[in-house]
Amino acid sequence: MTVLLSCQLFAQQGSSQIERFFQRYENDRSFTVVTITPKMFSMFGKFDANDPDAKTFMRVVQKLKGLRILSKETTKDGPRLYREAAAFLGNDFEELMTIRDKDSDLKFLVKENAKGNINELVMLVGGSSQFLAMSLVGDIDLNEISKIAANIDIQGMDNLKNVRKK
Amino acid sequence: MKTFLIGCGMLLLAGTVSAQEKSIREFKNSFKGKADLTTVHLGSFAMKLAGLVIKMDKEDDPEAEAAKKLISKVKNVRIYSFENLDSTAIADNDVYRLKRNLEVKDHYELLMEVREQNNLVHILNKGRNDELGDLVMLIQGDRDLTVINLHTTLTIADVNGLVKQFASNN
Repeated sequence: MTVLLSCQLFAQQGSSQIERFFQRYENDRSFTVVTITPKMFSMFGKFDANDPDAKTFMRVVQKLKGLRILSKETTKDGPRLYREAAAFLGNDFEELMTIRDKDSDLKFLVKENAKGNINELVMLVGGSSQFLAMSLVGDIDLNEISKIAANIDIQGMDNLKNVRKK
Repeated sequence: MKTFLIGCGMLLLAGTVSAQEKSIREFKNSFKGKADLTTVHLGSFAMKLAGLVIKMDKEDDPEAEAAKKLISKVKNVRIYSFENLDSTAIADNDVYRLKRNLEVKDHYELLMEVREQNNLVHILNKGRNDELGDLVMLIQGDRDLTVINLHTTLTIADVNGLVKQFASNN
């Protein structure tokens, strides 16, 4: 039942390979799962803001269609899950950036639509004690996403500030 | 006079029953006796009273005024709290079935879902265009489930007004 409903939700957001990875673990209670639907984003977009930062935030959010986050804290499986998630991403995704330090790996991948615009951004974080996979679907401007990343109070989202397009 | 009062009471009760979502009513009935159920219902009169109390408490406070305006657009609130559940009383599939029925039968749309460890929260709404409209929150814990159902005429502009009010004070 859960899997069926999830499939329906993914179908609404535009199916991709990383979603098969989400499906594998979304019923595992040791993971934290966040799903924000297109309806929620469309409601965000109707907020009228005066503050310039809030205006930028609303402009970016208006163009988004869905967000999914799968994360696991205090785990030693971070590197394994990172490799597993990366293996799910096929030729549809183009690697944008990889950052590796002594504690963790961070990878950004994007999928473009027929017009050449980015319509899905995937972020994978595999650390010695944590794992996070995020899929953001919509009309994505990397420069704008990186600008608002610091203001989003969701675990791991601050990593998006690194994604600015050169 | 007595007949008139009983008639008014019946009309109010009929209004109350119709304001309750069918899916939630069916769900509640199917778990009768399997969990400790607490029901809280705040009708429009209670909401008006709450607005009045806020006004009396902080008469010149713009935040209180904005909150009062918001409360005046909440027609009623129903809270169902299922506690001391038998571990098999409400399974995940039951909650998913309730969510699915709210979407299919009562035309609610899912806004967001968050699951952290054994806690799961679903938020759904039913409203036209810029209406926040009716809201349902399903909050599932280890051995408890809370269903919050708000019937409102709130619009995004109303919520926006409150957000701006709080932002201007900070």
